[in-house]
Amino acid sequence: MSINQKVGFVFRQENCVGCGACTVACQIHNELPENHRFRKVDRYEVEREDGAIDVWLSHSCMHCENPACLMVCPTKAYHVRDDGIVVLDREKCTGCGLCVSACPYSAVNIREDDGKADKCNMCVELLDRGMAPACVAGCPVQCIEVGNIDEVLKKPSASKEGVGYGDCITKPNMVIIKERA
Amino acid sequence: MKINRRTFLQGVGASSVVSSLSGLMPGIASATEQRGGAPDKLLKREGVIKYHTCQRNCADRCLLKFTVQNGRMTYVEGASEMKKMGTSPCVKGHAYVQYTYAADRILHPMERAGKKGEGKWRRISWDEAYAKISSRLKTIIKEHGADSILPYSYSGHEGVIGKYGGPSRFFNAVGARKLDRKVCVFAAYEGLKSVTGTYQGPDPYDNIYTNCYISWGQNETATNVHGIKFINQARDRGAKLLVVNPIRTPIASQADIWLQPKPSTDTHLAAGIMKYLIENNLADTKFIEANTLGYQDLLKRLDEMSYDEIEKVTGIPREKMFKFAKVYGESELSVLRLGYGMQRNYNGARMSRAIAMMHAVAGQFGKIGNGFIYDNTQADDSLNYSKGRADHIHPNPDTVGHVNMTEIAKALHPTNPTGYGKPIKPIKAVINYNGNFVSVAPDSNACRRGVMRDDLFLVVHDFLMTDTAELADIIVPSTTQFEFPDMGTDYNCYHMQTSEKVIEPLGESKDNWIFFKELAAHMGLDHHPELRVDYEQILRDFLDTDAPAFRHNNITYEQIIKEKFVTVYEQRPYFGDGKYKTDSGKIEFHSQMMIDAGYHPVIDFGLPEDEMIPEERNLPFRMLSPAIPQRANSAFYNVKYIRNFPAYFAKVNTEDAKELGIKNNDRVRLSNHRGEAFFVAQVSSQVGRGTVMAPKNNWRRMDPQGKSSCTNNLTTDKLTDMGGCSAYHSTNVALEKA
Repeated sequence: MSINQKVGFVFRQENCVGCGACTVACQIHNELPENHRFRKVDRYEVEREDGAIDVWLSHSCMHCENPACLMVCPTKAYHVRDDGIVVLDREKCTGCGLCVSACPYSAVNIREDDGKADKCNMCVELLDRGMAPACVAGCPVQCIEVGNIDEVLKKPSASKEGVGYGDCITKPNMVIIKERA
Repeated sequence: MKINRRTFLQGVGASSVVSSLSGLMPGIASATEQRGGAPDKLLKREGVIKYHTCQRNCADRCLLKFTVQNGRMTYVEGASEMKKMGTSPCVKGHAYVQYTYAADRILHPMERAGKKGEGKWRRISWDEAYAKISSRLKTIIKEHGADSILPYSYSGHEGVIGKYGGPSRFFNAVGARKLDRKVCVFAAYEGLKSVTGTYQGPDPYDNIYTNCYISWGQNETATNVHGIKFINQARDRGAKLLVVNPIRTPIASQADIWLQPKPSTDTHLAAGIMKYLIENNLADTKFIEANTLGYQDLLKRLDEMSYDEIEKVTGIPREKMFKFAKVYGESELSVLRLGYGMQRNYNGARMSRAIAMMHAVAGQFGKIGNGFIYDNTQADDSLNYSKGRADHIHPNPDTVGHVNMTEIAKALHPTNPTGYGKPIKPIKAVINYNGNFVSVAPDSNACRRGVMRDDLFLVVHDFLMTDTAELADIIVPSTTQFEFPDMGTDYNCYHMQTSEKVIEPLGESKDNWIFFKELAAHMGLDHHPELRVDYEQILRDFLDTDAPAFRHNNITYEQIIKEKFVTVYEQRPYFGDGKYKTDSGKIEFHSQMMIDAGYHPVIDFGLPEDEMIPEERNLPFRMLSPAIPQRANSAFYNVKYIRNFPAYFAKVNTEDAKELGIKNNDRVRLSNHRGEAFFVAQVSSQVGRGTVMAPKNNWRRMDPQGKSSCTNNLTTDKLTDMGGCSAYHSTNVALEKA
């Protein structure tokens, strides 16, 4: 596989049960303050013909192709790796919060402990060692993975559309897999 | 560097990634560290690995791998060598390091320095603690008899030593009152035994071969989250998912068909499905003829129940029920999973019986991919409990009194203690370990009143200041499960697993064996050799069994220690030999067991409302108090990363909320003649009209509104129809905006 592949999260939304294990696994790996979450799980009540159902969206940084955070950052604290992963150099962050407002996916937040922005870096320290990110390894239902987005999108069941999630101008790199009707 | 799939899988645990979402290799290839990484975050993953079984009371019974550095636990992950596990603990298990090193752990003995419950404590040494406890217990034994001492415990530690092996030896030597630990499964045990003779069933690993998975009264997300991947594997092969639950669980949302009966009307629903199967030639007549007794009685009984009545009682439109029954009846292989909640009703045994009978009408026993899964205690039931607990050293085991743990409030009643409906001798001392009955037992206010008695001596062995501990006379610090060696039995898959000691005890804490062993010595009871042994001997005593589950493959202590987990023997397919475990050897549609219990021999349509006092029956809401994914009974309420997941909410149906003027996040008050509780409303169609749902076993002390609210302020302590089990869900409440 080429190093220039675009890496992104692949989420099987139809199997997510909203337990929050991904959120906690991420917090623990990243040693985050208790109320700071890189990955969140939202519940949507979706009306269908025979009544409402619950659908969960587990989401964090979408590692966009045109990252809004990077574009607005006055100190150039954001960087896109060769593999497409958007990383933040917190040393350079002044906590101005422009990226927080710019991100359409609410993936960047200011940390209460040091006043600087922080977000998911797809656990690159694990990926670079051939290991799965904390949320991927930490999902007991196994509904999150990382993959080469261009390849994954060739599957008929793959798209950038899901409940609570859609494509936008920043070109997010999360793919939803939907195998069941 | 190029990483092939094999190399990657070795990195994350070979058996874990069985199917990839994308169908592609999930990792990336990069030989060198690029910008943006935080390699310091990997330091916690370096160290010695210890295998330890989670001992919370959950059907997953996870085998976890702990990393230890210089004696300190630093990281936890799933033991991916085990097929059921994958790489992940559950949401709570992720936080076991935070659980272990919680800032509010009690690390030294304390005695009460004010009035009961006043919150004033004096630190004492272990020598003082032992002296005070043993002298008070000796006085009580002298003045009132040893049977005035009652242990209270349940599933705070589910290990072989932690649950029974350690503590029971002490209570047997003392000659204490027996606690009937029947809070959970026993009503369903009776109901299921009346049909097939057993509550055990097929191996859940075979769920992947089914054509139709039925989740009946279970929330897998809360108590069997690791089993969900097997359901999804079956669905990816084309299996249907059918769900019956009064609450829209996550699996209900994902189901092909979800039926939402009014709570506790499952007998009627099962009868309706049976009627449909029979009327539409979907009953397996060949199976019924070969394997059952009393089918004509069943036909007659079903004739007495109309679809009109079923529709009225269950609240499910018949067309929807027919649709469900058709998919079920047309499936070649259907496996049914019965949850551990629905039996906690006054009609728990009778409902469980009807559901099992339905599965027999469908002919769904005896093949790989079908069957009825409830409590797979193949490993646990095979252990030598009487030897492991040293039951033989109890001076009067056959004549000593019993207290049912569900009736603890009645047993501790200040003026009129009762048990099983009869007056009982007063209890003068309670030693509470592995439990927190003031928030976990039903009728919490009454429990609290009982404990507040001046003449009751309460010793609590725990590592947190629980609702029960705050009322204690003496608190002695327990370890967590990670601070001593043990083993654990799986009750879903057929495993026996190791629980290696991960770290040394923190502070002055002592585990469930050392505390009771040393207390026995201070009481002068260590002349019993059973009270002088080590952990290994207790485990060996439990494993001294002739049961085929262990003997068939000759499973030994050494093997479990070496291999970390073993699979005990069971026939596959389950009931493949066509020999059922009833007296007749057949599935019994007509049951003498039911007659003996005073119920209809075929199907008994009794409902919980029939047994409520009018004051409660007339209240407008039924309260269900099931488990939620982010707590395990009363555990994890204090744990960083977990404690902020809501556990003090009441789910209210959208239409009901509109009528009562309740909006999302409003404060609401639930009440009945037992008490009141204040929660935050979650308005949702997840619950049906006339039902509210509040999480079970929340603490009074942790109530974020500071009103000492807990769900069990409201719950009933009346026992189930059979099995002497708790009936928490047979509770009615009033609901209003607070």
